[in-house]
Formats: sequence, structure tokens, C-alpha cells
Amino acid sequence: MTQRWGTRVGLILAMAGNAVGLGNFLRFPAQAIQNGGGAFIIPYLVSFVVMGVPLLWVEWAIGRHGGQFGHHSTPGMFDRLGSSHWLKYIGVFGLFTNLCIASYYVYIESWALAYVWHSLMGTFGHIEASVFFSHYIGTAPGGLAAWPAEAIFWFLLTLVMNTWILSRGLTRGIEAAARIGMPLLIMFAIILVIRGLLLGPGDLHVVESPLAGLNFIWQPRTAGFLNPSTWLAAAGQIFFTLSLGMGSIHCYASYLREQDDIALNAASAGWLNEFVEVVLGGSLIIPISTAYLGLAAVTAATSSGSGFTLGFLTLPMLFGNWGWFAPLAGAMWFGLLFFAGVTSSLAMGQPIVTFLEDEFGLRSARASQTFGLAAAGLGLFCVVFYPSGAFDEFDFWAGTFSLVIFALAEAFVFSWIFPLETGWAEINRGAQLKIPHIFRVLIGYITPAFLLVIFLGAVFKPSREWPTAFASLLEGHGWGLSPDSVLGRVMHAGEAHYVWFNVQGMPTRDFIIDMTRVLLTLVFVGFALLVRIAWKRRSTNP
Amino acid sequence: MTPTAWVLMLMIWALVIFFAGRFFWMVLRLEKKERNDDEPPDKP
Repeated sequence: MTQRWGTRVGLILAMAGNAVGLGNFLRFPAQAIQNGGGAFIIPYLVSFVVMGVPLLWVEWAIGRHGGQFGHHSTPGMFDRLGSSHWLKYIGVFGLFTNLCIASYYVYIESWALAYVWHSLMGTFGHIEASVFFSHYIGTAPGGLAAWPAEAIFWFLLTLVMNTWILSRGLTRGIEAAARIGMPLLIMFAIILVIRGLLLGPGDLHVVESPLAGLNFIWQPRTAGFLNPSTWLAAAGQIFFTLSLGMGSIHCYASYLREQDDIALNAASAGWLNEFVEVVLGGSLIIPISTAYLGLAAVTAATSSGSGFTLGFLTLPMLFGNWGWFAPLAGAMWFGLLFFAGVTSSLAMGQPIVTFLEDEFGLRSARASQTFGLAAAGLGLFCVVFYPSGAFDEFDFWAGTFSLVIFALAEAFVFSWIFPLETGWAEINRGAQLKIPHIFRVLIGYITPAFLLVIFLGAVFKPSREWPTAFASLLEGHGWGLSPDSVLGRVMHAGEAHYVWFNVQGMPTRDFIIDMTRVLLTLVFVGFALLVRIAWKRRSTNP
Repeated sequence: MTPTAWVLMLMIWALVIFFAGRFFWMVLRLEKKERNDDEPPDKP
């Protein structure tokens, strides 16, 4: 029997829950700080309107269209967008990214759950959070692998929880979790924002006004506004925050009926995510950390472009200044991160579960368990080889680059193969919000161009600022690749000694990283083979 | 905070809250209306 959403609000909360993740509270503020604060926010909003909202409509439309043919995962949906047999293989990205991201994302989610427990137990009152963290994940100087028993326990517990919710189905599982998780998350965030902004000179250990942090985020700066790196960072953030290019939006939208609205639903879920990110996420870790550490220390702590250091190492310590409220503040902070994480990881699991149900006839419970086992296997690889950078490799190839490729491909397929006239009609069918005609131009031309620029930016990211890199190229000095670019990573740019085994014959970090890439490639090929088998079965048993 | 930072922050917050609130409110209103429409009319 075809599953449907129980209520429309449930659908919006599940879709918003899919988008609202750890990045809303950790990545967004760090990206804003690192990309010039006020200079970042305008490109961020422009990217939201020009790329984010159009892609949301495209993904909802592909999903609802595929759902009418009984497909709830992207291979089947893409197969229905044109006559080419190759289109279904584009949809493999929608399975690959979800399984790989879920496997390491659930690990971070489990940190949040473990930290809720430790906050309530008062652990951070007698052990420094940074010391606790390295014990928790089992890192040791020079070590390539770790076997952190406690972290593995919480990881498996969180994964079992996800699997159990998925096995309960759409309305009793995912929708129910979103209906509980999203309001709690927003409530916890509002309480912490208010408490943080009320910090003043009279409070213990406060060195600066929390408003100094907010000022840095919101002070308009024209210099950074004209910097291409700021635009790429802003567009990238929009991409991740809306969970675009993953296949999870498609999956959720596929449970809609043919005449159900998608224009208003997508806009509502997208703007709800922006509220959580811009208003709540932007007002939490930066003001609180600035109040206790000063702006310079906060800028240094976010230099990687992520707020993990502040979120997991610094905040538990700073909450210690809040007296009786400290354990509760810690539980609320990590609780909101956990809810943000779990509503997203469920959205990653459902496409895999539904692929196994639709294409291989597995029952819901068996499909959920299969997803759980696969995510456990890949996740344990990330846990054990965390010290060698396996986690970062998963995050870059599956959690960053793969999304850009998939979104670029879907934007071109939707506009040029489906084609745009049919796609525009699909978006507007049953619409309860009149979409301005300008969005047809955006979807057809501007969004794909925008994505192409992001794709090229990721592949060829230079080691210096973009204008300097172009000037250097024109002067004949070549193009220095950033070690963080796609080509830089493939070629191990910036590494002085690239070897697989050291003089003692033991594997090196480079070996583990390359093996991680081999593993990811095998996962992709494995999904492609499953799709091939499923379609062969279809043709023999129509 | 500088006055320009306040202005930018409040403008963007107002924009985000307006659209998030407006669209969510429309969804709530339409869902209620659809539910009422689906209910069978009372017998005369």
C-alpha cells in the first residue's frame, strides 16, 4: 500500500527537519564569521533566492512526479524524466550520498546524545571538555586508528534509534519524530539565545558584550561582498543547509498526491529552515562564546569554517559559568543538536529504505534493518579511522562534492531533458502559491549556471584568493591548487611525502585516505549494480 | 553594536520571520480549510 503523509503540517515539519541540521547551529555562524560577517549575509540571501528556492521546487517536483509512478527513490524518479536508460544512474547519487552521509552523520548525532547525558551528569564540571572529547573519540598523538568503546556504544544506540523510527513508517515514524523534535529544538534554541544575549559585565568571567559577536556577523562590509570566495562560501552554505542534491527531498515529496501543492509547501519548509539558521543559529554560539572568550578567540576557533570546536569543546565549558542552569543549558544545547541531527538522518535513511522496498520488495522492518547494518558498517569505519581522516574524506566526497554533481545534473535534466515547459507545469500543478514567472528563467538558466560555477569552484579552488590566482595565471605563473580543492585532493597537493607505507612497513595516513576513497567508490558502484539488477528484474517481471 | 549592524540584522530578521511566518500560516489555514471541506455536510 502506498504510504502518505498524515498531515500537511507534519510534512512541512519533516521537510524542515530534514533541512535543519547541525550545520544550522555550527556551520552557518562559523561560515559567517570566516567570510566577513555582514559581507556574507547578502550573498547568502541572494543565493537562497536565486539557487536555493528554485532547486527546492525542482526537487519537490521531481519527487512528486516520480511518486505517481510508484518510485520513492531517485533512480526510478530520474528514469521517468526522459527516455534515456542512463538517467536512472544519475539517481544513484541520491542513494550513495544518503547512505554515506548517514553513516558519519549519525556518529556526530551520537556525540550530541552522549553530551546530553554527560551534561546532566555534570561531567564537564570536573573534566575539561577538550580533554573529554579526545578521550571520547579515542585520538592519540600519531595514532591512525581508534577503538573508542563509549563512542561506539552511543553511535550504535543512535543508529538503532534511527532504524527503529524508520521501521515505524512515514506517519508513525518520521512524521511523529518531526512533530516532537522540531518544536523542542526551536524552544531550546530560543531559551539559549535569550540567556546568551542577556549576559553582561556583571556575570562571572564575561569579558565582552555578546552583542560584539552579533555586531561582527551583521556589520555590513563592502570589501568582502565583492570577493568571489565569499559568494562561493555563501552559495555552498545554502546548498548544505537546504539539504539540496541529496535525494532526501525527492523521497519525502514522492509521498504527495498528484494534485497536492508543492509551491507553498516547499517555500514554507525552506523559509522555516532560514528562520532556524539565520535568526536562531546566528544568535547562539557566537554571542555566547564572544562574551566569555572575546571576538579574536572566537574568530580563531572558527578558522576551519566549522563551529565544531566551539560547539563541542568550548560551550560545555562556558555553560559551567551558569550555576544551577549549567546542566540544563548543556542538555538543551546538545538536545537541540540531537533533534536537528535525527530529523536529518531519518531523511537520509528513508530513500535507502524505500529503494529496497520499491525495487526489491523488502518489508519495511527488513529494509530499515538493512539500512542500519550498512550504515553501521560504514560508520564504524569512520569511527575507527577517524584519527586518519576517514571521516573528513566521507564528508568531502559524499557530503560535499557528490551533492554538487547531483544538483548540477538534476538542474540540467529538469531544464533540458524533462524539459523546462513540462517541469514548470509540474511545479505549478496544484500550486497554492503563485510563483513569479522570473523563477522559470532562474530554474532554466541561472540556477544551472550558478551550480556550474560552484562545481568549477570546488574542482579548481586555488591556494590563494581567486583574483590573485587569475592574475598569476595570466602572468604565466600557473595555477596553484588548494589542497582542499577536488583536484588538489586527488593529486594530494601540498603533501611533501606521499607514501602508503613508512620505513617500518606500516600503513600511513595517505594509505588510509586512499583506501577510504576506494571504499566510497565501491559503495557507489555497488548501488549502480543494485539499480541495474532492479531494472533487469523489472524487465523480466513487469 | 553599530547602528548599521542593527539595521541590517533587524531588516533581515524581519524579512525571514515575515516569509517563514506567512507561508507557515498559509499552510495551517489551508489545511484547516481542506479538512473542513472533506467533512460530510450535516444532515438536514
